[in-house]
Amino acid sequence: MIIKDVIESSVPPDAAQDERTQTSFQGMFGERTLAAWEIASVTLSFLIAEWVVPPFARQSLLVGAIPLCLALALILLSQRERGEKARDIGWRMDNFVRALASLALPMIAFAALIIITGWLSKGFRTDKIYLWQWLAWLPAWALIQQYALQGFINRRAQILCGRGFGSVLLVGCIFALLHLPNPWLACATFIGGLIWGGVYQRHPNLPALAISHTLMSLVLVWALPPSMMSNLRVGFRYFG
Amino acid sequence: MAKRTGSLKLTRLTYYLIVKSIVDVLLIAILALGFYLTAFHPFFHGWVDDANSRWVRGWVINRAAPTGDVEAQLYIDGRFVESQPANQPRPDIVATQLAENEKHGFFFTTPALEEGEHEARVYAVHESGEEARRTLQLIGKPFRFITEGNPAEPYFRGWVEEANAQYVRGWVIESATPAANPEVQLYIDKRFIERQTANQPRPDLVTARVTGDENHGFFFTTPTLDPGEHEARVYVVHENGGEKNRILRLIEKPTRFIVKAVVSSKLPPEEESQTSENSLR
Repeated sequence: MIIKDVIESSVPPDAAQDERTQTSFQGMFGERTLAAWEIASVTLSFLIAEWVVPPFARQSLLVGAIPLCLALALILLSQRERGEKARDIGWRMDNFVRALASLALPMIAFAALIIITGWLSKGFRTDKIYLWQWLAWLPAWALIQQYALQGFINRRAQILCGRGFGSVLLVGCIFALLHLPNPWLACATFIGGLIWGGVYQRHPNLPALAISHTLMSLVLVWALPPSMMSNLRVGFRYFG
Repeated sequence: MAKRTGSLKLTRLTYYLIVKSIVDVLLIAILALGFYLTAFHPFFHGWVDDANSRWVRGWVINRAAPTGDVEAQLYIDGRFVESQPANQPRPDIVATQLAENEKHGFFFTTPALEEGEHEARVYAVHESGEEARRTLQLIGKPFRFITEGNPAEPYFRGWVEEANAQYVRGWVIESATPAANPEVQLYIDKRFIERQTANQPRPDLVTARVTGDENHGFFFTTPTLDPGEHEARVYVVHENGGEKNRILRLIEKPTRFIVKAVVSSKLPPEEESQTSENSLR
């Protein structure tokens, strides 16, 4: 008690003023509000990259990288400020097998659904799976997406809605939103978002999710006809 | 203490979010402004001088590149008609010091239009984004005009010299093939009367050096009409690309004449006809 009083009395007047300002900020933006703002901000960055950059700056990779870098910077700063460790986020291997085991059944069911849809819609005709650049990039891109989606948005969704169905549904909706206006891809990513979001909350493991994401992407591209997938284009490029 | 530390971190996070929001807004604003200035070239200057059933003409200059050609596109009633470079000579533009080079005019031939009011819009075309985008900017203002059928000019030259209770006569020559004898059709009070080939001898056309071949006249006998005012229209048939694409084009203007209640056989036709002056153009 004495120590606390000493510390409080030793706070200089300017710092006390700062603290009052910060406290008022804290009152204005509660933790749930901040989490919602973080989710909205990162989602908006992806939407800018998909919808604003292509029509305004055409295919400029440099301009397209700006909103993505801003989102990444916010994610990293937010995780630092909230004291989240790599292990908490899902950069770990101790639960890798448990996460894969949890993913196996829903993945098999979802893959079967995709294959049946592909069979009914005369799919299995794509050349995209033979593009080695795409194949090489796919696992890395899957890991980046899962890091942003689960390692950040899912965790903030849990602050906002609590652990469970609400936060998992929010993750699925955001993942689908980012794949609009491609209707089939939006449906697939909504289901994928629910599966991965649910598994992540029980076994947070990003490598396992990235493997699952990669495999599901391959099945999707392999089984469904290119006309349905529109070459996996999303955002403004979907129309191009 | 730990609570205060946590609060400080959340406050910093709030600052980061505010800064990122500002940067997001600035990024969108810069992209939008850059796109607007690139795609919608702000340096076009021009005007549509005239639009009617025969032509649409005017001028346009790109003030950022005054010596270059600007592509102009004509739309009538919202539908694309033609695209052409605005490089027709317009010495008046040089005289008024709008440009150093006179080749900034455009002249479109008006296509066949239905009778009534129409709206002509001429747009300057601007390419941007390594020719990936083409944007149109309106030159001047939309120009409204009224047509009375498809005019014979510039495809034909001709004249309805006389229309009266006894006959309707005139001449017509096809501009592209002067030796041809096109078909002409007479309508009185918008009802079809007769068709014939314009091949009647008209030596006065040769004398006046309108043509070297005299067989371009037409002569219709006026049918019996009720007393009162009537309107004669002579159309020439324009076979624009074959038999299936025949367009009736009006020779000059509708000619009005009066049929009196009692017509004497001794009465000279001049008394009741409307004769056009300057019939040999």
